[in-house]
Parts: sequence; C-alpha cells; structure tokens
Amino acid sequence: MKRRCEESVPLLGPWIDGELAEEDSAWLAEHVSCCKACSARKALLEAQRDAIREAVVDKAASADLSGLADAVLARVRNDRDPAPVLRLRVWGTETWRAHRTRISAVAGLAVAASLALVALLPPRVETTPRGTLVADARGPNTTVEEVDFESHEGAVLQSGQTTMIWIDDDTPAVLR
Amino acid sequence: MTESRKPPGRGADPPDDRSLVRAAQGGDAQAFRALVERYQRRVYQLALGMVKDADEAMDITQETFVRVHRYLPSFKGDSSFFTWTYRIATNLCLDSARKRGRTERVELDESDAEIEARMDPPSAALAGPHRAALNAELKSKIDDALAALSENHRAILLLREVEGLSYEELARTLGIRKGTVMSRLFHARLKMQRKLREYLGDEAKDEGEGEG
Repeated sequence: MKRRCEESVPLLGPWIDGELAEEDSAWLAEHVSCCKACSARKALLEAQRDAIREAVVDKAASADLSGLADAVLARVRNDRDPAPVLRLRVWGTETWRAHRTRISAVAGLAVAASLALVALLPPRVETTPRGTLVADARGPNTTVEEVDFESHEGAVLQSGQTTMIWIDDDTPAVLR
Repeated sequence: MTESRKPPGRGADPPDDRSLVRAAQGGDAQAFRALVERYQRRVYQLALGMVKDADEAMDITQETFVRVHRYLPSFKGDSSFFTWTYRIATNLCLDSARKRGRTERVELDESDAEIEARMDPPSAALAGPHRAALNAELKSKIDDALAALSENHRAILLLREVEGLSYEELARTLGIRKGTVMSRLFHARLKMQRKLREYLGDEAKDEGEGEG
C-alpha cells in the first residue's frame, strides 16, 4: 500500500458524494487516474451505492401507498393539539439543532466574560462596624415618643396604621 | 439537492414545500395531503430499508406523517421540511428496532482488522462487468447485508445512498456533527462492503476466475 493510497482511501467516499474540497478533488483525481487499486476502490463504492439504491427502490416500488394519505388524514382529524410542554420540547430541539454552533459560541463567550469579570472585578466586602445600626426602621412618617407608664419607662412608635409600644421591664420608673 | 424535489412535469409548477407547509400550518388539509403524497414513497423506502418488514414499514410511514402533522405548528423552517420529516421517520425506525430488543452497535473505533480490510483489493462482485442489472439473488444479498449492519450504519447508508441527502442534511437528520457523518458513513460503507464480500464471496471468486 503506497502512502498516497492510504491518504486516498478515506477521501474516496466524500469525493464520489461531491463533498470534497476542490483542491483535494484535484489531487485525488490525478492519483486515481494513475492508480489501478484506488480506481477499482472508487468503482466499487459507486457500484455499491447504485446496487443499494436499486435494491431498496425496487423493493419499495411494489407497495401500494394509495390509501396512506387518507389513513393519515383520518387519524389526524381526531388528533388533539400536543401539550404545550411537548411543543416547547420540539421547538427547543429544533432551535438547538439549527443553531447549535451559535448557541454554543454565545454560551462559551458568556461564561468567558463572567469569568473575566470575576477575575478583574472581585466583589467588595463591606464590613459593618460593631454596634452601629445596619438598618433604620424609621421612615419619614414615623414618630417615636417616650412615654412614662408610671411603673415602667417605655416608648410608642407610630408609623401609618401601625403602633408599637415598648415597656422596659428592667428599669421601673419608680426606682430611677 | 433542491428542497422541494419536485419531479419534472408539464404545466404549472406544483407548490414548493415551504408554501405547502405554511398552508398546512394554517389548517389546510389539502396542503398537508400534498406533502404526505410527495414524501410517502421516500419515507416508506427508508422505513422498509430500516425494518425490512413491509407491514411495519407501512405503520412507521403512517405514524411519521401523523407526528409531522402534530408537530407542524412547531416547525419553524430552520431545516428543510424533508430533512425534518426524515428525522422523525429515522427516529421511529430506531425506536422500533430498540423495542424489538436489537442493541445499538455503533463502532466508532477502527480496529486493525478494519484498517486492513479497507486496504484490501476490492471485490469485483458488484463492480464487475457481468453486473448489468441486479438479479433477484443479488438484491436479496444486499437486503441481508443491510440487515446485518447496526441501526445507525443502516440509517446513514440508506439516507445517503438511496435518498441522496448531503452531508449537511445527514447531520441535521441524524442529529450528529458533519465530522461524525463522514466517519460513520465511511465505516458503514466499509461494513457493507465486508458483508457483501461474505455473502458474494463465491460469486466474486467465480467472476475473477472467469476473467483470468
């Protein structure tokens, strides 16, 4: 087996299928024209293709399909719409198959961009000083009024329709 | 390969697939019937090649078009109508084979024996000068050889050799990459060649002797 033949063998199929690039076709044609073995291999591939086609087409040709369309239409008349989930799945599969490369490329770019952002802009860690308020419940319409409940100190918070009353159990007013 | 694959005819050209699909999506039953009648023979051919049994092939063909109708509203035309239809038919054939308990055997690795086999001088059984037309026996051998292939190899071989799908269309129909199409088709042809050589061994030998 010559090296040229080893390179030719896998390309013979795509060549007879018309799927080979022009420059590859050119050197392959040149090789096949002067190589008996590769010329016979090409002839066999073509003969095998024609034989399969002839055998399968002939076998199917005798089938009577005249009633098939009617049978299909009769069945689909009673066929209800597929569930939305099924339709969504079909749409998703179609979209993925049609745009697989583009979707993969966009997803890859998105992941790369996210990683770059994380690497370049680390999230800031904010620390809250101990003892300071992290939130202030008081709004513009909120009032807090200290009240002497006689026995205990306390306060009343009024915010809209909400009223909250605090009574300090630890420090009775009478003891102060 | 044109999308509509319309046969040459006289008078006004029949509507192409795209307009029929649009009309069928709008509820036109006659447009859907036209699509069925346009592709039923090809789908049946594919199914018969895949499952061998004529009744089962007919059932698969009918079921294919029922599903085509069911999912037609979801068909956006990203692929051509026949590629979409063939994909449904191929999947039904593969499902049918799996239900019968036939295991998938997709040989992706090339063994040394295979490499050696492809380097062998090819058999002249099919390409020989005596093969003017396929006789019944040879057709039967081809049928047997096809049946002995894995489902995936048989599907790609039928779609390419009989239906003439391009590699791009094969990739879409079978849901595989174009590189996989080339590799799978190469191995399918190689396997078919070896099976035929097994079945036609004696005939090939006789022909070779006759020519000498």
